Amino acid sequence: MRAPVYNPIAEDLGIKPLYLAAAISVHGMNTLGPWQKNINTTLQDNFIRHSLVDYGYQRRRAFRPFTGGLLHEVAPLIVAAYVDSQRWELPTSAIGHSFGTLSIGTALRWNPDLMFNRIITFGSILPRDFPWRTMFDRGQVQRVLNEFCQSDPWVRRARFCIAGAGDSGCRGFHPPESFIDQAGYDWTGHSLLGTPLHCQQVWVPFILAR
Amino acid sequence: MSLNAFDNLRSTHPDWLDVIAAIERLINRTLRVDPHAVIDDEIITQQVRIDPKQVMRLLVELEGWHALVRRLFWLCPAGRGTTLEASSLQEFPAFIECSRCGQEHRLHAGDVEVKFLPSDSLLRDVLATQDR
Repeated sequence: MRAPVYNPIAEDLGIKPLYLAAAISVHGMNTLGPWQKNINTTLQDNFIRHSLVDYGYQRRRAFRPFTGGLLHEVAPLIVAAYVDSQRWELPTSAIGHSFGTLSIGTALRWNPDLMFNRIITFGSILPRDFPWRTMFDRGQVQRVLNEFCQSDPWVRRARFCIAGAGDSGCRGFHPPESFIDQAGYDWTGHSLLGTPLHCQQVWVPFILAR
Repeated sequence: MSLNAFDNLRSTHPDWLDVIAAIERLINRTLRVDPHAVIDDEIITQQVRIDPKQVMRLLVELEGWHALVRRLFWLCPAGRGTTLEASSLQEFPAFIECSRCGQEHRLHAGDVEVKFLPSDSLLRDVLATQDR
């Protein structure tokens, strides 16, 4: 039997499945995160166990003064997905888009035991001065890839209407750190990077790099 | 005489007794002829008329009972056979120059076939039933 057939049977029986790593993806607001489904096959084809964190289609609840309430719902979902992947002792990474980046950052702040091997952010609304250094020193993250676009209109607006948000998805994180890779693109807007091609070419090598 | 691991299967699946007995007979017979034989769900399905899903499930359960040990075969996507085999995924490189077709292949889950080898305990069981 091929590995994709073997893995669900093995997991069901409590036998360690055939994966090289795990990845948790978290979508943004105003969407159900079609990009998560688009990259699912690519990740699985590369032996990366993929957990999709889905907190439903949210619009108003992401805005002030409701932001905190929504983060209190999403952060535990991220932790639960992480705990689930830890059953198989896999190095676990997180991929966040837009509000998903704020959710991952918040989950890291609230859970010092949450430890990601790699974190990928695109359309990030985390503040530019997000304390990655603290996270790194605590062992909560080993490497970060932030992909941004200067002309991302949603990131520009986010900091005015979402509590705790910033514009790292437009201008990158600051100060620069050796463990943070930043890639700027001119025309990818807010959501265009979540494709199987980009996942195969950039995200998979980043997640699997030793 | 029954093999211990198959007794465990029978207790877990009392409604699959015929299927388990057929697979047990086949594996027992195969290992007596060749103790190093690879146990492959497709070959079992071809020889015994059983639902392939049942066969796959039972073989993975036998792995869970430590009767079988998984072995991975990286198949050439051009259909030229096995290009590399290993006991764990980590032993496979990300890319390989295929010994079968000469082209370079990227490791892809769809090209990795999972088969099984008998564990030492299963082989001991098989030899014991042979003696009796």
